[in-house]
Amino acid sequence: MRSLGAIELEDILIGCTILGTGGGGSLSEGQRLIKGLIEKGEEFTLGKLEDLDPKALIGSPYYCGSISPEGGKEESGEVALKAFEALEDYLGEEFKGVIAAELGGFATAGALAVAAERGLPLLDADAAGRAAPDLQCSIFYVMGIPIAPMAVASPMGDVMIVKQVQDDRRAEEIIRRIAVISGNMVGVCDHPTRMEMLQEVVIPNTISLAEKVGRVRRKAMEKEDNPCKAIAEAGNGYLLFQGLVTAHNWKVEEGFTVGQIKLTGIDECKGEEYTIWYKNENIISWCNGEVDVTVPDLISILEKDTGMPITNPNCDKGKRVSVIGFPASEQWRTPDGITAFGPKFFGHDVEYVPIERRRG
Amino acid sequence: MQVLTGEELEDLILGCTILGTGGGGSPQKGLAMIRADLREGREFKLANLEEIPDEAMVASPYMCGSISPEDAAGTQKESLECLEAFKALEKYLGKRFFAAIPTEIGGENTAIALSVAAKMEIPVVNADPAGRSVPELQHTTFYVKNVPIAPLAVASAKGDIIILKEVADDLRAEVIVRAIAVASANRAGVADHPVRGGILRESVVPRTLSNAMAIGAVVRQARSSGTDPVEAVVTAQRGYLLFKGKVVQAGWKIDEGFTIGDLSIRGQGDYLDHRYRIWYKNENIISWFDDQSDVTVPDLICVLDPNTGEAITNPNCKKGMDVVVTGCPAPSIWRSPRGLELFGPRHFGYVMDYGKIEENRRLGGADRN
Repeated sequence: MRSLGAIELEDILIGCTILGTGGGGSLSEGQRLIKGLIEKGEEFTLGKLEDLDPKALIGSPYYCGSISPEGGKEESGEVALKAFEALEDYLGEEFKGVIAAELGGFATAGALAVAAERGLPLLDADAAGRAAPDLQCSIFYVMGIPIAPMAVASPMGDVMIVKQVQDDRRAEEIIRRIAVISGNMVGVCDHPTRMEMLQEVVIPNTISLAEKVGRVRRKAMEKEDNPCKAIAEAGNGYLLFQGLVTAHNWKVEEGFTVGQIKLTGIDECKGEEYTIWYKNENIISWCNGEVDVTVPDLISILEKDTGMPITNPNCDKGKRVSVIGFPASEQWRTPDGITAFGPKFFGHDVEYVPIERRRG
Repeated sequence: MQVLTGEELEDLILGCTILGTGGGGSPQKGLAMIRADLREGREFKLANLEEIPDEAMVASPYMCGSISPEDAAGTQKESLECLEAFKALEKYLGKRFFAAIPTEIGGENTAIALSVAAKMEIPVVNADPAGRSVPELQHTTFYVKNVPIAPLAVASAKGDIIILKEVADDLRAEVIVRAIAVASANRAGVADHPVRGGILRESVVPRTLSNAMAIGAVVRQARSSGTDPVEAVVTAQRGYLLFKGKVVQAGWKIDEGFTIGDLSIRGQGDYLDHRYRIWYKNENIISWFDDQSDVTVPDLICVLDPNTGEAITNPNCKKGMDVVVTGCPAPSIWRSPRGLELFGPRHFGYVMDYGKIEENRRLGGADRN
C-alpha cells in the first residue's frame, strides 16, 4: 500500500489521460473532482494486487456516457459512489477495494474518488490498460468474469440493479440506453469479484505506469526536454506523427462521440498526411492513406509542445500535435482479445498487426 | 375467494374491454392467454380487498412496449416475461406475493395479471389502480395516493432481469422502463408497486373486476335473449347513452408510442342531424356533441358495436361503422383535485374545467358551471 499525494495524483491523472487515447473522460473534470477531495482532507491509497486479502470483494465503479465539450458531469455528483454502495447493499457485503475499469482522466478519477470517499485502496491495475469505448472492451469480458450483478445510478436519483443479463453486449446496450435518457451520464458499478479471481485476470501495475508517464512529462517540461518523446519512451511506445490539425468532424451517435481528425505533417513529417478515426477513443490511424496503428494498441494525441493529452472531441483545427502509439497489454493480443477489441469490432475490415511489427 | 369459471372469465374480458374506453390492449390476445392457461388446467381466483391481510404483499405485473401483431406464440411469451418480472421482484424483496393486481381494466392488460396470478397459483385482486384503462404510466390511483412505484422489476425476452431500486418519480420510471423495452425488441415484462394489503385498500379502486364481469354478463345475457345489449351495458355501468350513429371520419397516427386519433360520427335515429366527435390518446379522452364539449376524462367514454354490445378498441373504429357511444362516471378518487390534475382534460392540453357526466344537462343532469 502506498499513500498518494497531490503531485502523484496529478501525474496519475495526466498519465491516465495520455493512456486514455482520446477518451476516458475530461482531464479537467477529473482534476477538479480529485482536488475537491484533497481539500476535504480525503486520503488516497494505491494497493498492489498482492496487498489485499484473497477473499476481499472488489468493485469496479465508473461513469458511463458520452464525452462532449458541453460537459454536464458536474451535476452528476456522486453517482459512481451511489452505484458502488447500491451494489454492496444488494450483495449484503462491503467492498474492500476498488479497481478502475479503465485508464482515463475522468474514468480513473471516478474510481479514485470512490476509493478515497470510502477509505479503500485503489488497486494498481485496471481491466483495460487504456480507455475503451464499449463495456465489453474489457479484459473481464475476454476472461469471462461476469459483469452482473451490477448497479446503475442516475443524476436524477434513480438506482437500479441489473441482476442478470444475457451477456456483456446486452449489458452495454441497456446501460447505454439508460445513460442516454439520463443526461448522457450514469454511475455504474459492476464486476464484483474476489481478489483471488481478480488478480488472475486484470492488467497489473497500470496505475503506476500512468504515474510514470505523467511524471516523465512533468520532468521533461522542467528540464525543457521534448515531453512527447519522453512519454513515448516511458510507455515503450513510438512517436508516430507530428502535424497540424486541418480538419475535425464529429457527432454524438447513440451515446458515443464519433469523429475523424486529419493532420498535415510538420517538421520531419512535412509532406505527409495522417488521419485518426475515433469512437470515444482513438481506434485506427492511417499514414498517407495506409493503415498505421489500430486497437487494441494505443493511439494518443498530445499537444506537441507540452505533451498534454487532447481528449475527443477537443482536437481543434490549427492545433500542433504529436501522435504517439503504445503497444496494448499482452492480454489484448490473444485471439479472443482481438475479437473483442480489434479493428473489425468497429467495422474496419483490417487485420490487427502489433505496433512494434509496423513500427519496430 | 371466488374461483372463476370459463364463462365468468369471458364475461370479465368482455367487460374489461368496454371499461377500457378504446384502450387496454387487444381482447383477442387477452382471451387467447386465458384460454391457454385454462387448457393447462390452471385456476383463476378472485380475492376481494378485504381478503388481503394487512401485512401481505401484492404487486402489479404488466407489459411495457409496443404490442406485436396478433399471434398466439407472442401472447404466451408476453405473459411469461411478466411472470419473470413478478418472480424477480418477489426474490428481490425476499417475500412471496399474496396476490397480483391488474395495472388497469382492459381486455389484454387485465388478462396479463390474471394469467400471471394463475401461473403463480395466487389470486388476482378484485380491484385496480385506475378503474378503467389509462394512457400513461403515472395515471394511477397509486400515484394520486403517493404509493411508490419502486422497487420494480423488469424482465426481457433475452433473459435480462433489472431491479429498479429507487426512482425519482413515476415519470422517470416510465422513461427508464421504456428505454429498457426499446433495447429489448420493444417489449419488457414489468412488476411494480409492491404494496401491503393495508395500504392497498386505501389506494386502489375496489371491485372493478366484478364490476367488469357483471357488465360482460349482461351483454352475454342480452345477446342470448335477443334484447338490446347496449341498453344492458348502460344500465350495468350506471351510465348514459351518449350518441348513436355512423362513423364518417377516423384519422389516427402513432405519436411517441401513443395512438392518437379523432372520430367523427353522424347521428342516426334519435340523433339524426347531430354530430359527435371523440379525441383519443390510446383511450377516449374527450367528446363533443354538436361542437359542445360533452364528456371528458376521467369519466368513461365507451364506443360499442350496437349489435353485439362489444367495445371497439382504438384504432379499429373505422369509417362506415355503426356505433353507439356510452359514458359513465369515473371512480371518485379520480374526481379529487389531485386526480383531476393528473387525469383531467387539462392534462391533455384542453383548456376546460371538468364537469361530471351526471351533471351534464343534455343528459338530463343539473346545470354545468
